[in-house]
Amino acid sequence: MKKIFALVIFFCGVKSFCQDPKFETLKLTSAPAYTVLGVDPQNIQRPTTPTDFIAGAQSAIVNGKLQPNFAIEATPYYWKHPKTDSGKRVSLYQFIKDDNNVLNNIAKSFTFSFATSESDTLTFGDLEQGTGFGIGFRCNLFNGNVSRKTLISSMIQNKLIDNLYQSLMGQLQVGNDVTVKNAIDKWRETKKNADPDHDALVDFVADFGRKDLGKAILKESDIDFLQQKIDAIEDEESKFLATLNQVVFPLTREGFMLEFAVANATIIQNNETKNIRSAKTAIWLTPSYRINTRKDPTVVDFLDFMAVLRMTFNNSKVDVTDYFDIGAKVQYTHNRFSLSGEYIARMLTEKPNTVESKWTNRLDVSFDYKINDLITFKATFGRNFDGNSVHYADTPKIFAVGGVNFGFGEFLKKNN
Amino acid sequence: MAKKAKSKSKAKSKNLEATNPISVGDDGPFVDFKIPEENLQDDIKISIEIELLDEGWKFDSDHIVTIQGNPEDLYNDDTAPEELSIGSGEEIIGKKFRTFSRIRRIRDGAPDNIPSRVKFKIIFLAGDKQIDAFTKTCDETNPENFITNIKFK
Repeated sequence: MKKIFALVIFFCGVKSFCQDPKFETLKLTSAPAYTVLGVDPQNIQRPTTPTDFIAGAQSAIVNGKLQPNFAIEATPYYWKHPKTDSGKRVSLYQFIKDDNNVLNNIAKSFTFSFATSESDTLTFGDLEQGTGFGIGFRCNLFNGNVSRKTLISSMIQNKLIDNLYQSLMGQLQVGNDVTVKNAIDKWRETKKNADPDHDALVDFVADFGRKDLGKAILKESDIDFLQQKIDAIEDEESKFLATLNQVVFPLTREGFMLEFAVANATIIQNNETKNIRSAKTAIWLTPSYRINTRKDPTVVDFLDFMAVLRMTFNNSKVDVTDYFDIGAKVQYTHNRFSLSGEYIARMLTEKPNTVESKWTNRLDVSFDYKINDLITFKATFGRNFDGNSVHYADTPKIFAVGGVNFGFGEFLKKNN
Repeated sequence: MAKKAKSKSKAKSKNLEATNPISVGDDGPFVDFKIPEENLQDDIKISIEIELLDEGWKFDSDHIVTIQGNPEDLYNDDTAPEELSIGSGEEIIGKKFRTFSRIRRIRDGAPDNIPSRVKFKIIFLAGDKQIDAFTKTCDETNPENFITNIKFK
């Protein structure tokens, strides 16, 4: 135990060597507006209606001036299709349907972000002081393929049959006799949504239901008969769900995924609207490929190949050069254990006289172990950028970084 | 009384509180629901809210709303009904009313395969004013049905 403690202290002690960009920061783990602005807001407004969005945007302006430390993020698609039910509801059909439809993927994932901050020299360089703001968006062009498509497709068919029978059961329970053909035709029209694949499934289920019931009229005396049909369907559904839930993340995707993002950071110098200057604009393209190497459904086993391309255009008062970053990462995840290696190269489009080369790079290996739900041990070893930019050291440095993350936020949420 | 089907294996229904019309699993009895006299001219609406009480789970759902005398479902969708109009107070007096919600929990990072408990809430409104609300929580049985059976008085 003492050795572990000493190791943790050692890793924490050398953490100051790791102030340079890592793959994760290039990869856009937060909204692009926050990344380009260099902020990590804790209090982010996430409006779910246009009205909430306008109200949120208005709260950023007080007495005609933009206030710092404001952050908002919105996915307009869900304004039309609200994320009801605590944001935890997922439509199995939509999950399957997302496959390979680029326009659909873009529409659903298009996320706008906006944030403000006090100006600082890292983001805004020699630009005059004032209030900075970042504005950006991101979207997924490709979402990969559903890992358990056959099982989920069976569940969707089963769910529709259950829905049809429960619709009929509802009528019987409130005392309405059911003319089966009419009721099923009405149900069919209710469930159709102009999606050819979905509508074909609805037609199949409607035809199946009519044959399976085999009666022209259902009366109150048929409740037990209908309940037996429902029990059979629902028992089968329980088994499907039990199989699906053996996996920690059954709704995962694998294969090729591609994310695109763009963001700009601007400053209102001296808080005067006539002195607005763009500080930097960044464009991200993040392709990745995930292989599910799982043999046992109860085991988490992923191999991820990721890359990132980022172009950053700087105002000359922020940096005399623009940056082109290219990075690659391979990560293997097995249950609580994760091992990754990453390489990042940065090219300066215009090499200043004060630096030796227009290229610099960084290489490292990381190890994560989730000790329990609250505590994760992390360690990173590698070689840092070797000085050709104002932010990097002048000579290559070997570094070792480590520490323990405590997830008290989740703990408190869980216990309140 | 709602007709309790002879379910082959389901012993899931819980005892109902005296005035709580929600049952878990199978249909329970129809519980009288008195519409306040001052709301007889108002549009009576319902909203349903689903909350997962444990972290690491998502859910897929179905919601069906039916009322006596109308051979079509008032509502049949994946999303929970929000301020769904079921008729004016006068129109629905004496009618049986049923909501059916089926909640399928899908694991989303939970360390153990013990499905999250679900809190089901049904809210009755007259116009924009809430006149009553009932809740029920289920255990880890997955999927689970929440059925509200009411007779309006």
